[in-house]
Amino acid sequence: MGYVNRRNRTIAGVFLLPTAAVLFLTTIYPMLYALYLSFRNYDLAKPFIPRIFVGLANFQEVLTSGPFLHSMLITFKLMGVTLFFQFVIGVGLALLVTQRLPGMAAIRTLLLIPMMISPVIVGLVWLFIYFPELGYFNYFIGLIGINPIPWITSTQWALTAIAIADIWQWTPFVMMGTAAALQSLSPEPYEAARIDGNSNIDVFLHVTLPQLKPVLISLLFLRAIDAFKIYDIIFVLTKGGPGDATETIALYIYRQSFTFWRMGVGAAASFVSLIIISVLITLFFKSMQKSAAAR
Amino acid sequence: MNRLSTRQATLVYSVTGIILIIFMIPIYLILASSLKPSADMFSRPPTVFFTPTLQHYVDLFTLRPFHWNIINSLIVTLGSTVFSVTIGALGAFALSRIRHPRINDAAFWILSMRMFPPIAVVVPYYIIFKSVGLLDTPLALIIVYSTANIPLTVWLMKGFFDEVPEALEEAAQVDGYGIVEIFYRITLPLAAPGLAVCAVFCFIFSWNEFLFALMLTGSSAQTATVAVMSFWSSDAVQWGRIMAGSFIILIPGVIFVLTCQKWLVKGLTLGSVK
Amino acid sequence: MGIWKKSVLAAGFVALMCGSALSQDKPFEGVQLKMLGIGDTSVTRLAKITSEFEEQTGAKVQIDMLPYPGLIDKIIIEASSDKPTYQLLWVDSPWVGMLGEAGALQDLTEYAKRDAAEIGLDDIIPVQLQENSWQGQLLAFPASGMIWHVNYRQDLFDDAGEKEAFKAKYSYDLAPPATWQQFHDIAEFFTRKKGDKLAGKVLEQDFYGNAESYSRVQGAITHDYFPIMRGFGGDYWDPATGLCAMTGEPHVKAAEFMKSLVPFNPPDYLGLMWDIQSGYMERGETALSGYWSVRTVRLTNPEEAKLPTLGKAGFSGGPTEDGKPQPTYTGSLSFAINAKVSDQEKEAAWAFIKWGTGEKIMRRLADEGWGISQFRKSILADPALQEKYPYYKVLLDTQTNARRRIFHPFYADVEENFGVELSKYMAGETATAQEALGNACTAVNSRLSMFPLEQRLRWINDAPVTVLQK
Repeated sequence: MGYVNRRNRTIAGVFLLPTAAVLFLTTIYPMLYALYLSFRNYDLAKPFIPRIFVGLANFQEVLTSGPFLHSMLITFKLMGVTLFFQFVIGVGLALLVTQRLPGMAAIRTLLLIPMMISPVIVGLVWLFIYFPELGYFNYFIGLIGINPIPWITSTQWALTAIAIADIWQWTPFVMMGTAAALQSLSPEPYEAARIDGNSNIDVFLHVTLPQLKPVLISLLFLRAIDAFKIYDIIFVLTKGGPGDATETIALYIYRQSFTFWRMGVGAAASFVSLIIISVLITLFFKSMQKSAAAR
Repeated sequence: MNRLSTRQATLVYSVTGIILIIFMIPIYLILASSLKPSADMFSRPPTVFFTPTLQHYVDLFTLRPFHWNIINSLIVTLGSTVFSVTIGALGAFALSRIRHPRINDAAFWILSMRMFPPIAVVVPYYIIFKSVGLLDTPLALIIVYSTANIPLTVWLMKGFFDEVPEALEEAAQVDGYGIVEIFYRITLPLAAPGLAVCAVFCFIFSWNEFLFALMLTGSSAQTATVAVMSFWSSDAVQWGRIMAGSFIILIPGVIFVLTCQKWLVKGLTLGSVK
Repeated sequence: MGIWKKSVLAAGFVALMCGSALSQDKPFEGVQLKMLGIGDTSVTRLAKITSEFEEQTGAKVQIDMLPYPGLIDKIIIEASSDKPTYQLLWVDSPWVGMLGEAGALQDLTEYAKRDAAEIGLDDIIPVQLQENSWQGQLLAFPASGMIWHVNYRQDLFDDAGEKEAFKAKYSYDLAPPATWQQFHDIAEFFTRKKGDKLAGKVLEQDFYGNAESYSRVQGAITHDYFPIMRGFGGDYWDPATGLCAMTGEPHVKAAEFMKSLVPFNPPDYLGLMWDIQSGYMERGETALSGYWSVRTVRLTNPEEAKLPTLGKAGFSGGPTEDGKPQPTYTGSLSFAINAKVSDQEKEAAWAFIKWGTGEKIMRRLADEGWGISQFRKSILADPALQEKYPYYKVLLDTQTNARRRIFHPFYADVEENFGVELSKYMAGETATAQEALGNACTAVNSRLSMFPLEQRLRWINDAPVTVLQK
C-alpha cells in the first residue's frame, strides 16, 4: 500500500489528467450550452422569437407534460423487457457457446454480427420482416396457418416489435461478456458441487450464477445507459407511432429540440433524463459495492 | 467444465443451431435484398427466389464516392478507437490505483459523460467545430466519439487493472522502475486483453454512429453509415442500395472482431471476474 | 540569368493573357460552391454533370447528398450560424416559410427579373413560383414541381366486364373519380379476396381497392390527409384569427373519409409510409392510389414498376366533394441560396440554379428517361414527352388550378401534431375525428396564440410573388 500512497500524486497527474482534461474540455461547452438553453425560450429555427430567460418553466413543462411522462413510461417498459430478455437469452447462449465442442468458436463469432450493424440500418432490415403483408415473418407463419401479426401497425404490437429488434441486436453483447466470464471460472467449486451430487440446475444457480454476478451487473450497467437512449431503431420503424405507442424519451427530446425547435424544452428534458438515469445507475452502483463487500 | 456425452452434445448443437439460424435471418435478408432487383424488393408474398443482380453495388460506387465514405469511416473509427483506448487506459489505471474516498465519484463523473442524450449537444458541437474550422473533418467526429468511448474504456479497463496484483508492481519498483515504466512494462501487458475488448466496443460504436456523423460532416468527411442512409431520399427509399451498403460496411466490423476474437474472450475473463 | 528572367516574364505574360481570356469566358473561375442537398433523382443526376457547369462558368460545385430525414435539421443549424459553409440549399417547399421568416434564404426576385428571358420565367407554372415565395419574395427556385393526384389501373378501368359490373352496382359509369364518393365506390368495388375474379382472371392473392399512407414515419399520413382535406374544401388556417382551423366540417369529413377507406387498404395500412404505399401501385396490386407526383414518375420506370402497371397506369387530378374542380395543393422541391454568403458567391449560386433548373437540362433529363416531376409548361405540354410520360398532362392541367401547400413558419408543428393525432385516430385510440383534430389544433395553437394577431395573419397570408408582377 505504501507504494500506492507515495505514488498517488504522480498517478493522478500523469494518468488521470489526460482523461479528465479531454473529457472536461470536450464536454464542458456543450453541457454549459445545454444548461443555458434549458432556462430559455430558445427556438433555433425562429430567431424572431425572443430568446428570453424563463426560469424553471421548461423543467416545469417537461415534468408536468403528459407526453413526457408517457414517453418515460414507454422507455421504462421497453428497457425492462429488452434487458430481461437480453440477459436471459444472452446468458443462456453463453452457457451453450462455451461448451467445449468443435465449431463453437465460429458460432460465437457469427452470433456477434447483429451488434455490428448500425441501429438505423437494423431498423430498416426489420421493416422487411415486420410488414404485415409484405414482410417475411407473416409470410412464413402464414405457410403453417397462423394468422398475420400486425407488428409495427398496431398499438398493441409495435412496442413488442421494437423490443424484439433491440433484443436481437444487443443479446450478443451480453453473450460475449458472459461467455468470457464463464470460461475463466475456476473449476474447483464445480468439482465440489458435483461430488455433492447436485443437479445441473442447482450447480448453475448456486455455483455459476453467484460467480457471474459482478460481470452481469457491469454489463447491465452499460446496457441500461444505452437502452435509456434508444432512438435510431424507433425513428426508422415507427417514429413513435402508431399513435404515440412507441414514443420514448429520446424521441420526445428529438421532437422538442429539432422538429419543434424548442431547444430549451429539449435541453430541460435532457437534464431530467440525465438525472433519472444517474439515480438509477447510482442505485446499481451501490448494490454492486454492497455485493462486493458481502463477498 | 465436464465433458459432454454424445446426447448432450447433440442437444447443445441443435439448440445453438436453431438460435444461430434465427439470429442470422436478418443478416441473410440484408444480403438477399442487396441482390434483389428494385421491382422485386417488396412483393406479396415476399420473393424468396429471384435473379440476383449486382446493380445496387455498382450504383453505390458510381452514384456516391462510397470508397471514400468507407475510408472516412475507417479514419474516424480507428482514430477514435486508438485515442480513446490510450487515454482511457491511463485514466483507468489511475482510478484503479489511487486510494481516495472520492475516487468513486470521479469514476461516476466520467461515466455520466455517456449518459447525456446526444441530441441535446449536437448544436453546440456544430457551433464549436464550425468556429475552429473542424466541421466536415474526421477530427470532429473523432473528438465527439471519444467523449462516449473514453468513459466506456475507463470503466472496463478499471476492472482489468484491479485484477493485476499490485505485488508485481511493487516488486518492479524495488528493481528501480519508475511509475510510468511500471505501467507500460508490467501492468499494461497483463491487461492487454482488456484493451482488445475496449477496442471492439469503441470500434462498433464509432463505426455505426449516425446522428453526429450526419450533422457534423458534409461530403469531405461523410461516413459510410450516413452515405448509406442518404439513399433514403425525398422521392424514394432506395432499399437495394441501402442494403448493399449495409452489407459492405458490415465487413470491416467482422474483420475487426475476428482479429480481436482470441484476445476478446481471454480479455473479459481476466478483467471482470473476481 | 538573363535568359531565365526573360522566359519567366514571357511565361508570366502568356499566363496572364490566358487568365484574363479565361476569366472573361468563365466569370466564376475559382469560386467553390457547396450545396446542402439530397440524393433524389434529379439531384443525383445533376451531381454527375456539374463538371459541365464548371466548364461553362469556372465555378466548382460540390453537392453533399444527405438523407431526407435529418436534412432540414441540418439546414436550420447551418442557417443559425454566422459563417456559412453552404452557398446552395436544397429545400422542400413547406420549409420556405420557416426559413424565410428566419431570414435564411436570399431573395431571388431581382435575379429572376433580371434574367427573366434567360430562365424562361413565363414558361414556369406560376404556382410553382408562388410555392417558393414568402411574403411576396421569391426565396427558392423549383427543381421539380409536384401535385397530389390519383393514379389508377387503366387496364381495369377499361375492362368491359368490370365496367358493366360497376355500372350495375353503382348505376353510373366507371371512370377516374371526380368526387370522393366515387373514389370510395371504386375502392370498394375493386377490393377482392383471393380466389375472386378480377378482369376475368382468378386472383392468386387479395387485391386492394386503394392504398393510402397512414404511417407516422416521415409524416406520411399528413402528406395524404392534407390534400384530401383540401379536396373536401378545407384549408389549414382561420383567416380571421390566423390560428389552426382544421376542426371544421371539411376537415372532419376528410379524416372520416380516410378512415372509411381502411377496409379497402392493405392490412399494412398503419405502416404505409409513402414509399411502401406507392409500391402497391407500382406492382399493380391496388386499383387506385392518390399520392404526390414525385413518386408517380416511378410508374413509367421499368426498374421500379412491374407489369401490369407499367404503361397501364392512368392518371387524374384529385377528386373534390361535389366533382367541381377545386384548387388542389401543390408542392415543390427547390434550390435556394444561403442569405449569408458573399455577393459573388450568390451570383455563382444563381448561375448554378439557372443552369440546373433551366429548360435545356430539364429537357435533357426527360429525354434521358429520368422521371422527374417537371414544372415547365413547354416540357409538360410537349406531345412527344406526354406520350412517354402520360402523367405530364395531369401535372399541367391540375397545376393551373392549384394552391400552394403549407408554408407557415410553424409548418413542422402542424405536420407533427396532426401526424400523431391522426395516427391515433386511424389506429382507434381516439374515438372521433373531431376529437383528434381538436387535440392537434390545440397543440398547434398553444404556440401560435402567443403571437399578436397581426403577425399571425401575416404568416398565413400568401402574398402574390412579386417576380410575376409586370
